[in-house]
Amino acid sequence: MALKFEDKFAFGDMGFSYARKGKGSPLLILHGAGGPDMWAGEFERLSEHFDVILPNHPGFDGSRCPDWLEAVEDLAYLYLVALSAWGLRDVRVVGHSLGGWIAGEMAIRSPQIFHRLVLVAPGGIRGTDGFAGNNFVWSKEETAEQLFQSDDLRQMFLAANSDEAHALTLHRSRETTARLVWSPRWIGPALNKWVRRIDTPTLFIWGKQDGLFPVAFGREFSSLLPDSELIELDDCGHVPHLERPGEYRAAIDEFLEVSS
Amino acid sequence: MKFHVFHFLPYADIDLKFREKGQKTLWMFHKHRFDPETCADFYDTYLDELSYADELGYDGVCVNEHHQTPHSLMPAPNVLAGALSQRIKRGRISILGRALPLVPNPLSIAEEWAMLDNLTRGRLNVGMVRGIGIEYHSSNVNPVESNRRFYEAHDLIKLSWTEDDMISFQGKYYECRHFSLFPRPYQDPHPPIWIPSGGNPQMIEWAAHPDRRYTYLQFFNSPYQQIKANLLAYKKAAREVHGYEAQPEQLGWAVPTFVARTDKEAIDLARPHLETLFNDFMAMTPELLFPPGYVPAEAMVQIMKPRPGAGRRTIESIMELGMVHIGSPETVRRQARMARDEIGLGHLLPMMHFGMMPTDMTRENLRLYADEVMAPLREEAALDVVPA
Repeated sequence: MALKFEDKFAFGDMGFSYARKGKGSPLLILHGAGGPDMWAGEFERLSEHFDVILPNHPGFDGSRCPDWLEAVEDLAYLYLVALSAWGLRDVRVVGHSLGGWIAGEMAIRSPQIFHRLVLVAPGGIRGTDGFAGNNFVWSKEETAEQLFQSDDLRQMFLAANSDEAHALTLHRSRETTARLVWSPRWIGPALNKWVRRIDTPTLFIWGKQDGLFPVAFGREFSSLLPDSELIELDDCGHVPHLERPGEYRAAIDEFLEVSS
Repeated sequence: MKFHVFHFLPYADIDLKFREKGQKTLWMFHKHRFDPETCADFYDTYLDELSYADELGYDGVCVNEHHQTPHSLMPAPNVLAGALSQRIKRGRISILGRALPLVPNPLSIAEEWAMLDNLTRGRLNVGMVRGIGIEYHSSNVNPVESNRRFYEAHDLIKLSWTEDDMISFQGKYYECRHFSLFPRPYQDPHPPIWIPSGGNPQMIEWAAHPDRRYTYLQFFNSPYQQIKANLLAYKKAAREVHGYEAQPEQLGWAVPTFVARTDKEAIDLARPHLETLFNDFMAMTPELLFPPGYVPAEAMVQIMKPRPGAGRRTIESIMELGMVHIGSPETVRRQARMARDEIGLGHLLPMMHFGMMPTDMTRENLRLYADEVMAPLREEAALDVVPA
């Protein structure tokens, strides 16, 4: 099912569009630099249990990156403003890749409003051993190999976004990503300095063959948080919820206390 | 028309089988051999060639900036210009150009250029460029900021040259609160500024502005019709947007050039070197050449469209597009006249060495061109046989 981002949130000249569905405790999904579409399935599934909000990050939604959006923390502040405006507390967050980084930036600023964090191969952490993959020099084929282990997913990735409108969204997303993560590359200085402020129970899910953020980053990130767990998945790249959906769902459902 | 010899100073001892070793390009990912003796010899040889060009009476010599590639041994062109300042005694020295956004503080460039202007007693031309896409990978400067950093760096350099008191500048990327330039430029108010650029309309209109009137330079890697269109766009912007007629000295073209006694001899001799330049030295992946934001996303959609494999470019296909001046003296005179008359070109920058051309061949090329192309064209201009 295609996602529809019909609602808008505005704060001065800043803002974003989002999809919202379901009843119950609030759950925020923060997508990665690859865009929200790969979260359509999880959005539907989780909306049976939660009030699910999925923002379409500005600059990844087909529009040009707005001038105000210069750093990952700009999105973190904006989404905190929105949660506050909506009067939401005890928020569950599922953040993937860039979205996991945004979640981390939100959590170091306002840890008290979160109930659980699920960080799926999140960016933002400076590994003491190794570097994030140099994705900006990868060809499309190399990108498929670095992000996915399964041939089917690689083929799906290569076949996607073949028409011009999708290609334009893709290039704009890439440009927004570069603006936010180019330097320091995929690293959030504030997140690294203040990471111990995150006392929210946190679940990390990481593919052992992630070519963008090595699983070693996950071990370090997890070791810095007082209440966290890391699940490492075999035969899995950067997108565990697509590559190992069974293990992924079982893990987050238990952690988020989804009643079956 | 003025004649400036352009030189890339390549490390002309590359392994042409780099593709068989799994490399797509000689830029950045090179694992090719580097021999310091060979490199030092290349610098000597090339500086001698440029000195020889000065002795032959060319109007000037030109260097430029590229990083981490055998294509050009000039990651710091100002260093080369410093060396040239002690050898080139008559002609001008043009740095085409220096990539402004890649440095943390453009005032260091303003200082170096002021030094060089004095070292040459005012024979310096300076080119301002953004740098090519791959240089954003190597410098780690955010490519999304490239355009805005360029204009801001230009403003800051210009301010330091034209304001003789302490300057303050608070830009988005650069800031200075306690700076006044010393030494100051030799030329008043500053060295002529050139803008080498690929045809970006915003840059053309900006360069042509009456407060600037910068020399707009086209490089060799576009078909003649495209080069002509870009240079005519500059004249049009001057006329229609800014209300004045651009002069020939505001237009330049750097073009690979080779002269021999006959067309056939010229093509035979130039072939391996020109084909190596276009196919090997210039080989690049789109991800390296176009990092995100370096050009607008709309342009990226077109650039990344799958195209039928073009295969290796031949000298014939390159000549057919008018991208080079190669042939007998008569042929090359005709090609130069065409650019002069159709475009109103005031600066021709023959690139007399390319690929792995040996120095004897380069020197003969320089000599023959000076005698058989430059001299007759200068005579025509002196006699005013054709309107400039």
